[in-house]
Amino acid sequence: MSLLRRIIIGSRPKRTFIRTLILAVLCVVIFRYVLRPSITEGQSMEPTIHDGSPHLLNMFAYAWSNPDLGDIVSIKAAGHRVMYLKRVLAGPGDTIAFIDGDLVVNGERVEETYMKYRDSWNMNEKTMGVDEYFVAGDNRGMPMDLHVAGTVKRRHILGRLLW
Amino acid sequence: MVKHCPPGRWLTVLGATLLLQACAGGDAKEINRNLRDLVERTAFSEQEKALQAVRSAKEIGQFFTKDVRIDSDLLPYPIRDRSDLVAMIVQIRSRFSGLDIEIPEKSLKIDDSRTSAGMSLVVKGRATGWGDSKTEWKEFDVQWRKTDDGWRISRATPIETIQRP
Repeated sequence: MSLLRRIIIGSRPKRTFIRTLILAVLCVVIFRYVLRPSITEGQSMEPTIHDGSPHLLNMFAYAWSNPDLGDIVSIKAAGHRVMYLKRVLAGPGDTIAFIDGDLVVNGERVEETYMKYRDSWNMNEKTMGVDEYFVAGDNRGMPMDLHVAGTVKRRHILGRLLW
Repeated sequence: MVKHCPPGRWLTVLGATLLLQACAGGDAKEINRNLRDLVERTAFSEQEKALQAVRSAKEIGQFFTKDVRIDSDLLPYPIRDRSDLVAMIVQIRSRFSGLDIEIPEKSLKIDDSRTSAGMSLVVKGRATGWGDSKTEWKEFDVQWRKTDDGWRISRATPIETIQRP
């Protein structure tokens, strides 16, 4: 057996083949169902996430727990491939409002250090249902009706931004 | 207990099953062909003259039933019949210098009656105009109905996972 062949397939080709197969299956399972690589399109999460930047989503993050306030989550948008990336601002039972661009949760103003662009959003107080979350992007430099923000059902939250 | 069944009966059952499958397959083929034609006709690559836009819109309208309903927050008003739809297409086409449409995902379920069908559709649309371009992804729940002219779209509803306040 030549040295090159020995390096590539080892001294036991059958075992190497099985190892390669297991590795391939593991990669498919991990990168399809657990850690999903994604590319961001759009500026709705600026300056936290930039247009065109690559990311990894943990699709198992909420298998046994629920999203926390401040988490950046992936939300089903269209089919199996397209997702929204938004920040969770309010959870089940919380009340949320916007007053001149300030976020008010359960009657208290929330300081959002991650934000850079802020338009004077106004929204009357709204109470979340038992399985509802309020999500919005970090870029609020445009009028509220031009930004995809609002209430999402728990079942549509698919995972959390890992990196 | 196993009873002997004459081969003729089996052949009848087999024939009927194959015929049913062929009919259902034919329906699915027609729906998919109509969708493909609709996508081709909806796309355009240069600014159209007004008359051409009206003619294209009327051709696109033929893929829908006369009482078609489309509700979408992307549209300035809800569509309640084919004439609404044609007017909307003319309006939208005049705003852009190009439109490219892809269907990356779709699934079709034909009802047992074979007179209606439900389709889940993911649409990727890229509109260009005045030096700018915008790509939108949208999932639609589309209802097809079998009419005298063939399978036509009777309803299209976008699936919104984020409900705006």
